[in-house]
Amino acid sequence: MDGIDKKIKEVPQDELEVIERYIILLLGARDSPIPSLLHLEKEMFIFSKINEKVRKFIPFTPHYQGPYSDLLKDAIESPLYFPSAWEIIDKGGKKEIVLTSKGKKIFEELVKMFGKDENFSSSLRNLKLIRELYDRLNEEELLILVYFTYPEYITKSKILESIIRKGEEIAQSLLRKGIITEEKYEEIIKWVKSYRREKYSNS
Amino acid sequence: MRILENFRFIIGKKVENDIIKSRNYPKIRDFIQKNVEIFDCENCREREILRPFVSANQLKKGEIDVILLGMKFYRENLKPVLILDDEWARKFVEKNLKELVVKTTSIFIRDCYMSYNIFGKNETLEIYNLMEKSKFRIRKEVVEKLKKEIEGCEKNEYKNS
Repeated sequence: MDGIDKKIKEVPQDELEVIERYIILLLGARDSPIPSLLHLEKEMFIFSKINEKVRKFIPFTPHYQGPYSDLLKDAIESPLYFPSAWEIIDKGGKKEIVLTSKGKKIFEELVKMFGKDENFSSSLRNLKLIRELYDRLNEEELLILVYFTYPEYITKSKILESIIRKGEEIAQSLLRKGIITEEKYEEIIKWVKSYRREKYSNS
Repeated sequence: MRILENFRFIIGKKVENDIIKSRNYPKIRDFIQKNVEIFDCENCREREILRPFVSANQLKKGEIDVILLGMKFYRENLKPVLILDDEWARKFVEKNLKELVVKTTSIFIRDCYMSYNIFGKNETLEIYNLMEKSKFRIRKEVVEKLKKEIEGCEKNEYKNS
């Protein structure tokens, strides 16, 4: 048994290790890179909404780009327990995140170890679904959907204005691609207009 | 009844509640209780994953339960066929959950004849006639087109014809 096997068989020692394991699971849930750091952050946020353990270990707070976690950001940028399990690839300014071969091995070991546990399998299925649904969105589409759905996290957003300004265009693009329903489109348009009205009446 | 020999028939609690409200429910109550599996999707956590994509109103509907059940069974390596008559729900599945098979009731009936060999030709045409006379929401031209398709279909009916 090598170092990796030993590490993942142990009960995680602290929250950072748990967070790093979840990052590996999210990355491994689909055989393609996560399109950006923003995607990774928001996908983990959505997952935290349905997983109590993740909610406990990765608390999200309102920040410049909506829901944000310091712990998650630190873990992505400076992993302590599983260094070099993933890499951030700069693709012309766009930063994709992908598992390295070492990371893939850790992922496979985690699946082998815990795959028979129903909670683990169900979490993995949900991570896969999240990746399938949210990876396809561009950053503006991702933000408008997260901002609209979780307004409690946008109080400090610095880019809300720009998202609202392009609101109709972004919503139209989502509708055209069939990602959102017409009723959802109407809801977003109503929200965008009411935000502008409110802002205008307050200024 | 013969459909049940080939398929497990599963509905969400919300769909059951709608059926219970129907005036004809007493006639089918025993059948439903004996043959239909009912799942309560109220606490399905996957609903949250879908929340950003559908309206608040749609998220509470029985159609979302059908989608959640479809996702559940698909991931259990079964081959669910989702019956969704509302266009928004069907379109959502077709565009976003491409691994799932989704059909309208009328198309499912056609396939019970053409693909699954559950119904015979005359039987299928009779079902469409009954649907036209009932309160089932379906456009006349759709039924006519399906009836033509069935009438023009030459196949060996080795079962139930």
